[in-house]
Amino acid sequence: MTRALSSPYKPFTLIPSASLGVFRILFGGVMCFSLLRFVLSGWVEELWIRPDFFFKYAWATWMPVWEPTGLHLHVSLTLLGAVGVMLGLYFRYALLLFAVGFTCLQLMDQVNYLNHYYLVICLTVPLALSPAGQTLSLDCRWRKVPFQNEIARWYVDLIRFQIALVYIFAAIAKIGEDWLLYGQPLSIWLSARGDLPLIGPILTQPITAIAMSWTGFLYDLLIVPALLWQRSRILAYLLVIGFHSMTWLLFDIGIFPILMTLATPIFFTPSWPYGFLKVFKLNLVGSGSQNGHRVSAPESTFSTPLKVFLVLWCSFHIIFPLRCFVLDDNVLWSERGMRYSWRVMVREKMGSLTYRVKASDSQRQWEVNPKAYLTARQLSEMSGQPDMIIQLSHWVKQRFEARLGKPVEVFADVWVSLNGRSPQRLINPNVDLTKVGANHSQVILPPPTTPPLSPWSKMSSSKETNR
Amino acid sequence: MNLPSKYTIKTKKIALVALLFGLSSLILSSCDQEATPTEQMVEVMNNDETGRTQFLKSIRAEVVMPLLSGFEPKLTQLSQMIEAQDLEQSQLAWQAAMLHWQQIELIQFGPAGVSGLRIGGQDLRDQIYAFPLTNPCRVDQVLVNGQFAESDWLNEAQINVSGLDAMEHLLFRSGSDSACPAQTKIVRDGDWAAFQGDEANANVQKWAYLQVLVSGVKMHFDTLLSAWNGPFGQAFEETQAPFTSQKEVIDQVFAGIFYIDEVVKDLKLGAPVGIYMTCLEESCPELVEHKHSQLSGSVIVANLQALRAVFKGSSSTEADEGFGFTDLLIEEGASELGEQLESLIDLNIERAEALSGTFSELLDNNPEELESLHSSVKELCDLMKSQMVTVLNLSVPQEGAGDND
Repeated sequence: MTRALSSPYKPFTLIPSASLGVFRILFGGVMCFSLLRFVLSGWVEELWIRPDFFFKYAWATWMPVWEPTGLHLHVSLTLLGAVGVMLGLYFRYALLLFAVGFTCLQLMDQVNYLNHYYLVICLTVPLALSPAGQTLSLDCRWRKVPFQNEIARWYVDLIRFQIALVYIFAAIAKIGEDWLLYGQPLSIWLSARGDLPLIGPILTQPITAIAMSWTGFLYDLLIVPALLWQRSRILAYLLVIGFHSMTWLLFDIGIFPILMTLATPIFFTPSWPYGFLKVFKLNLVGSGSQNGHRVSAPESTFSTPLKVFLVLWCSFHIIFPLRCFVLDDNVLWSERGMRYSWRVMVREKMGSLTYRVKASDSQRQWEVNPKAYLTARQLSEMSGQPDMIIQLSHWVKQRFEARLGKPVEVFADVWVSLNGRSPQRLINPNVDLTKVGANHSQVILPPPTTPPLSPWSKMSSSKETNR
Repeated sequence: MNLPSKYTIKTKKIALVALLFGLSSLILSSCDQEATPTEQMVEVMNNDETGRTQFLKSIRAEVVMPLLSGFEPKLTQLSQMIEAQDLEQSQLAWQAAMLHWQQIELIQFGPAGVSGLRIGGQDLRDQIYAFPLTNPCRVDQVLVNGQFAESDWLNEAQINVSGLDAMEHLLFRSGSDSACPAQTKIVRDGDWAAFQGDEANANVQKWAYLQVLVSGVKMHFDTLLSAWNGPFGQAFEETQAPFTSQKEVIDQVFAGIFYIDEVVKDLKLGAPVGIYMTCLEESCPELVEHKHSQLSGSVIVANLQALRAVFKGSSSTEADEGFGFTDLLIEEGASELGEQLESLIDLNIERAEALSGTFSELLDNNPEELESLHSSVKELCDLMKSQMVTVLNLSVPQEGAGDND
C-alpha cells in the first residue's frame, strides 16, 4: 500500500476485469430490485400520479411528468435498462436507457431527492466510460462482443472514487456538535425503535446514541482506507455488512444499505471474483473467451476530451459538496448546499407551514394549508426547505388569483424544529415569497443558536417525573 | 502486504486519538449522572415495559375505552327518546351524545379511521358522523323520497345522510323550507311542498327516518366498540398485526390528533370566520358546524378535552395515572415541551369555554373572539407539527411512500 502511495499513479496498469463485471451485475441487480419495488409498492402512483403539484429543480424546470400510461412505460423502460445492465446485454444502450430513465424519474419531483439516487446517477457515468459490458456479460457470450480479461485500472478507480466520496463527505457532514456531542438526530431516531427485540431497550439509552454517532462518524471516515488495505479488508467488509444491516434494520433508507454493501467489493483486489467463482465452481467468463475472443485493454493514453472530462468530473465531485462551507450558513437550517453533498441522515427536521395570502388591494388575508395542494409525503419533505416553500408560493398565488380574479401576495409562517430544538421561524413572514428571486437566502432567518435536544436530558427527566 | 512500521504507528496513533476523544466525550457527558451508563443500561434491560408500551396501554385502556364506553349510554338514551318521539328530549339526548362523540372524534385511528388511509381503518367514524361532508339537502331528499325505509338502505346509504349529522338536521331544523336550493328536483317539482303540506305524514316520516338513523349509528358504534374490545384493541396495545412496529402504532395515534389542526383549526374555526382558504367571503356562517344545534363552541371544548386526554394518557380529569404524549416527551427529555403543550391545550380549552355566544352570534358581532381562538389553536398546532414531531420521531400518516437518507 505504501509502495502504491509513494509511486506515481499509473492509470493504464492492467488489472483483471472481473471485479468491474461483478460490480456491473450487482449494480444492475440492485436497480432492478429498486424499480420493481417502486412498481410493486404502488410508489409510481404515490410519487408521480397522485400529486397535483410537482417541485421542479431550478435547472430542470423543463422536465415533464407523464400521464399515468406514459409514466408506467417510462418506469418499465428504465427497468428494462437495468436488466440489460445487470446481464450485460446491449450494455451501452441498456445503460443509456437506464441512466436517462432513472435521472428523468428523479427530476420529475424534487421532493423525491435522495442521496443514494444521486449516487446511482453518478455511478452510471464511470460505468458508461468503462468496458463493463465486455466482461461477465451476455454481450460476450451471445453477441460475440470482444471479452476483456484485463482492463486499465482507472476504470475501477473512478468507481472507487465515486463511492469513496460518499463515505468521506458523509464523515465531514457529521463533524459538528449535534452529531458528535449530542448524538442527534440518532438519539431521536433510536428512541423510536425501543420495541425491537433484544436491542430495543439498549437503543433508547443516551450512551447508545452517542456511541453510535461516533461509530458512524469513524466508520464513514475510515472504511475506505480499511477496505483498500489488504490486511484490514476482511474485517472492514464485515463492518460494512454489519453497519449497513444495522441501518437497514433501523431506518427506512430503502436500497442504500444493499447498494453500498454490494458496491464496496469494488475496493477489493480486482481479481477477487475469480477466487469466489472458483469456490463455487462457476464459469461466468462465457464462450467468447473460450472461442478465442479474449482481448486486452488497448488504450494507453487518455484522449484530450476524455482527460478534460475526467478532470472536470472529479473536480466537480470534490469541490461541489464543499460549497456550504463558503456560503456562511448552517446548511442543516438553510438547506443551501445540502443536496449533492452526501449529507446522509444528519438531521431530523420538521416544519409547520402555513401560507398567508393577502389581496393586494385590501387587508383581506387567508390562511392556506399547503396540504390542500400536496401529498402528505411532499408536505413532510418540503415544509423545512426554503426553496420548495418559495416554489409552492407561486402555485398558491396562481390558484388564488384564478379564484379571486385579482392579484395577491403570498407570505409564509414556517416554524421549524431542528434535531429536537424549540421551533423557530425559518422564513421572514413579512416577505412576499412570489417576489423572491433565485437567490432566496435573504428570506431565510438565522439558524437556532441553542443546542439540540440532549439525549442525557431524558434520564434526568425520567428520574424527576416518576408518574 | 507488509507495511513499514512508521505507517502502522501513524495509523494506530490516529485511531487511538479518535478513540480517546470519543471515550472522553462520553465520560464527560455522563459524569453528571447519578448512575453510570452501564448501571443505567442494566436497569433498562431489566425493565421490559418501555414508555411507548405504557403509552399504548394507556391510550387504549384509559382514553379510547372509557370514551367509547361513555358514548354507549348516551346513544341508548337518544334511541329511547327517538322511539318515544319526544322532540325536546331527543334534542337534549342528541346534544349529549354529540358532545361526547366530539371527544371520540380524535380517535380517528383503527376501525374509526378511513380505510386505506389508516391501519385497520373501516370508515366507522364517517358512518357515524360525516362532518365536514354534511349535506342537509341530501337528507331532505332521502326524507321526501322515503329511501330510508328500503331494506338494506343503511348499508348502501351515503355517509352524509345516515349519521349523527343527518339526525341533527332532522331534529333541529327550523321552519318548513327545504335545505335544498330552488333548482333541486324536490323543490322544483313541488315534492317538498307536498310533503310538508301533509304535516302528520311528514312527522311520521321524520321519526321513522330518525329511528333508522339511530339504529345505523348504533350498529356502526357497536362494530367500533367490539373492535377496540377485541382483536384490534389487543393488536394496538401489543403491536401485533396489522401493525409492524410501535412507531407505526404511535404514528396512527398522532394521525388522530391531527384532527385539531386539519378540522378544528382550519374547518371549524378558520373557515367560518373567513381565515381559511375555503371561505373567500368576509365570513362563511354556512360552514359552521352545528349551526342549528348551537353546539359549535362546546364541541371545540370537547375536541380539546380529548386532546388533553391523549396527552395525559387518561380521559379522567382527576386521575393522573395515565401515560400520554406528555409522558413520552418527558421520557425523551423534552419535559418543557410537554408542559408547554399541555398548558396551551388548557389555555385553548379556557378560551373556547369563554366564548361569549354561539358561533353565529360571534360571526355577526364579535368575530375577533373566534380569530383569537384560531390563532391560539394554531400556536398549539405549530408546536405539535414541528418540535413534537421531531422529538418523538413521528411520521405524518401516509408519508411513508418512498425511502429516506
